[in-house]
Amino acid sequence: MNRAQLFHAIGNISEKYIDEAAPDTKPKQNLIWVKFAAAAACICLILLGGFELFSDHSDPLHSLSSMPHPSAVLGTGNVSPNPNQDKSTDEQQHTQSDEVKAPSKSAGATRGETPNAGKPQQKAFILSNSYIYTPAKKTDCSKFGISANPTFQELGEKLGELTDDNTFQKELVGCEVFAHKQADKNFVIVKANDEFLLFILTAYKTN
Amino acid sequence: MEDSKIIELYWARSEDAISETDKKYGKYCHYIAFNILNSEQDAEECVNDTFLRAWNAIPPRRPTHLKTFLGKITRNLSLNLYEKKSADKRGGNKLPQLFDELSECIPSGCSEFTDDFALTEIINKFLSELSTQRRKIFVRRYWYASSIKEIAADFGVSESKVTVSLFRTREKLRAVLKKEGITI
Repeated sequence: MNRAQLFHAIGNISEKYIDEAAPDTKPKQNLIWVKFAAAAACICLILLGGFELFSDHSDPLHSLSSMPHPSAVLGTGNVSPNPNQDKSTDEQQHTQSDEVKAPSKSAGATRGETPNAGKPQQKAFILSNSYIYTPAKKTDCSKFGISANPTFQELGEKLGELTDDNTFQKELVGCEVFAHKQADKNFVIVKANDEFLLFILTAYKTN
Repeated sequence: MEDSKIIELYWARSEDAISETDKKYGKYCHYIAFNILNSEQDAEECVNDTFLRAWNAIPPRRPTHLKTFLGKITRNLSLNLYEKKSADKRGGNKLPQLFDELSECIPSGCSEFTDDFALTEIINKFLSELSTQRRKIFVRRYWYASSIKEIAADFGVSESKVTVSLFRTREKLRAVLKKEGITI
């Protein structure tokens, strides 16, 4: 036997040993498109992030639509909290029972408007593009010594009307807003049909 | 494409059989041929000849393992071409080293041993008793003619470890051949 004969004999060994030791010669997939897609996704994320960072948040619709409650906007830096307001309003979600008077759905219904059932109701509005109001709580009223159930006598200066531009609460669209005689603009009264709804200044937009 | 479908193409005498074989096993065959011949052109020629041999062999044959079936053809063709080129003194310089290493396995005082089948059986039995990694390294070196460096990289070990492993395996094989009475 010579070494070439041995080499040839090795050539006829069992296929399982040949297969087991086989080198990885599978054609490599072309990953260029994967890399390109990943790079494109990264660029999109960066652009989106930059857009969010530098976009103009002065639009009340933008501010309010992206927040579950105006008090939550306080953390963005665009809005400052109202120092006069009870801090608990910033930390807690308003509950239906705790609010002085929740705008009734019938108010909107009587004007022929369809309640925005599928969309979370933002019980807030913004005045003069700067002042964010939310429904006043009983604790707020007691703190300022005002009645939780405002009457006609407490209506102060008319501040304007609510529109689609300054509130998400469709039921309030078209309602007049008045300053509270005793509390000036810290509280405002919204006249919704025959009801007077009390709102408290929750935050300032500082831009 | 699965091997069984490729073999069906051979049996149907469809020329797609060659292209599908090339697509799936072209690189594998080229790897074997290039390791033995150390020439891109010769390796390419051997791979093409491999496909032609497969075309002529299937049918009537129906290999159970197409990959190693092709690999064996490539290896044999490459060795034949290597010997032919060596005779013309135009061969590569890789195989002599492998032959030198294998000569260590041959017990001294051997006479002529012509029963290749019996020899292969002895080697198969010997391989079955090795650890998996040691067997893979041995087969990569002496069946695929891979370099020490490449084996070390593929198995994630140092080159010296591969060298030591091969050395010990050769010593064992030598002892086995001697014990089997291959006083060649």
